[in-house]
Amino acid sequence: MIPWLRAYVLALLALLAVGLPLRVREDRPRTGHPMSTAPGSSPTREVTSSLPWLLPSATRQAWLATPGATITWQLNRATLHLPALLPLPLAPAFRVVFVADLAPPDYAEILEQFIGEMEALHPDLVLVGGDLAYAETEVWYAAVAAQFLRLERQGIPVIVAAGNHERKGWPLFLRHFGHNPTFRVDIGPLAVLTLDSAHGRDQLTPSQLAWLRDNLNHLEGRTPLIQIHHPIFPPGAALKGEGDGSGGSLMGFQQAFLRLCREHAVPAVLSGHWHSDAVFDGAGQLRDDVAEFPGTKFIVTTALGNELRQVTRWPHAYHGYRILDFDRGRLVRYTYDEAGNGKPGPIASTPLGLPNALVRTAR
Amino acid sequence: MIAIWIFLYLVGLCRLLAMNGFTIRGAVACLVLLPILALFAGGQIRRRLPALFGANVLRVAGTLGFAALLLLARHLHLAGWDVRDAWPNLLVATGGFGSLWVLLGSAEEASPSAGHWLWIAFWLLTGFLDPALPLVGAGLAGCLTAWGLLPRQPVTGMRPAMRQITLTFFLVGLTFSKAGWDFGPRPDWAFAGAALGLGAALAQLGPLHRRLARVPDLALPLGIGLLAILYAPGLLLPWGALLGILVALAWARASRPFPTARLGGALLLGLVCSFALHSNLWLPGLRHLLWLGN
Repeated sequence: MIPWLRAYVLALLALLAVGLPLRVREDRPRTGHPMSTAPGSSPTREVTSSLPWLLPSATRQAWLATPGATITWQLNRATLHLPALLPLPLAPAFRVVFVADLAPPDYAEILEQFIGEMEALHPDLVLVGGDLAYAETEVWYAAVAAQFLRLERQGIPVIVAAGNHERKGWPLFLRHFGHNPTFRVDIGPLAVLTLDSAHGRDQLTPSQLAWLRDNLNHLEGRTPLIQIHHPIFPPGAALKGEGDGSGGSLMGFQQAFLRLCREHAVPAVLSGHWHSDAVFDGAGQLRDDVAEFPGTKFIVTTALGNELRQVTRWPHAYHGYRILDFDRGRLVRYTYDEAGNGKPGPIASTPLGLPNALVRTAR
Repeated sequence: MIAIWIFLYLVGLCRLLAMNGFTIRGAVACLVLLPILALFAGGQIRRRLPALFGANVLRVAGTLGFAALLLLARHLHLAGWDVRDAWPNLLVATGGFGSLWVLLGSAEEASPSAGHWLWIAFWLLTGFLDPALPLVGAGLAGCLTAWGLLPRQPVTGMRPAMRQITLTFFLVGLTFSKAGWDFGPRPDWAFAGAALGLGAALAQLGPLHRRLARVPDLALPLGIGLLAILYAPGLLLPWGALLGILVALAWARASRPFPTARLGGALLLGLVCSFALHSNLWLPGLRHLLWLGN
């Protein structure tokens, strides 16, 4: 017994040697991972501490300075629960921009242009759906994070999802965008659910599906909006061009995912990965006929700055992003009105290039 | 010590590498692989150069290994591991070599006691705090063993192994890593590790130990293989505990002397195959077997 006691005393000393001096890693809020701000929601701050159940005194004092705030622990994960925000009435219109497959460093000016356009457009939220850095260097990850920070400083929250390319520089992604790539943010009328499909590759795992189910069961009147890097459906009968080489679609728990979307009336699931626009209905059919159809819209958005591909029979290829307009939590527009006649056409995302985008997609 | 090294260092290292994206680019990244290669060559070295495994050498190796893994954990704590950095790779290689040196130089042991399995449970649980910490547990155990401070179970005699022992260890690697693939960067996988250690410790206790001794050999690979299919995150703790019981039984039915290279290699191969399988769900039919309900 004594030798084991001695061993455990040494084990605890070893843990102290690793964890001291006491320090924390900010998990939320941070760039790409904001706090919930929706009226009626309960915002949280999250940190991971270097030792269980202990916080540096400065952090602890700052946290407890907020009246009504409480701290919960899961070993060394501390969550500060701030008082629930008042359920104030929301402005009816809410605009979301979704962008994926950003520019590699050689085309940094495209990212710069996008940030400039967002500053002018000033959406209520920017979602970044993965493959945000095509170079696994600290310098480039820092540059991308700095661009998102520019938006956040202007009051435009940015929510970042992980793509398959993030796995090549995974420690850099975690360092700059947080160690939990599966998370929820309540903002405006929406509950934005960010998933990580590149876990292995092209898949959800059982724990992520359970997390999604749990969150969809607790929407508290909010409209769910899901972003996940990989498209949910393969091109199927609509395949044309580089569909086989595009990296495919969701392989893990696809049917269970679709069932959840149907049961919880998810208006849209946003993906990138194909570097090409596409929209599917709940049966996996490419909807290049109309923009409006019943059920969840499984929306794939072109690349912002990386190479363009043709994956389905949809023929248009350009760099861009997608503007989604919600009216009182209802998705009312998600395609670019190319003809400019006020009737939304199918599939098309908004091409990079501010004047047209602003004029034609005015709220 | 063998079980501790395999579960805390070998499995812990594979978990860290899978979490942080390991690619063999350049000599610096290859440093990480050296202790694993030494696992296979160590027996030969010990037979040819026994002087390198004297008590004093082991103490130096054990202490150095522990210190290196402690520094590694401090370096990676709350940050993550970029395997292109030389310093953590050097630390993990030194720590692996040091603790493996002690393992190879120590006298043959019987199967792990409940205390050894609890040690494994404790350090796998610390993986929740940081995934690098289980490696510190391997380093500390190596250091304590080298200084004669860790309780040991002397082997009582030579014994043949059950027939399917290599397959069983392969399946242990294949199955145990599932929780890690499922949770990804979330630390909850550590609870499955702790449950495994607790289940294995439980299997060593008096009445249960005697009953479990009657379980036929063939039930072990079958049971472990079945757990690979029946994994469900909602049942993480009973799943881990049941796996732990089967692992403890399998460990007790390995031959003595314990074929460290062969069985450690089989377990490592299971981990690698598990990673490859779970990353390639496009294989027809496979995805339904890999995740229940998929």
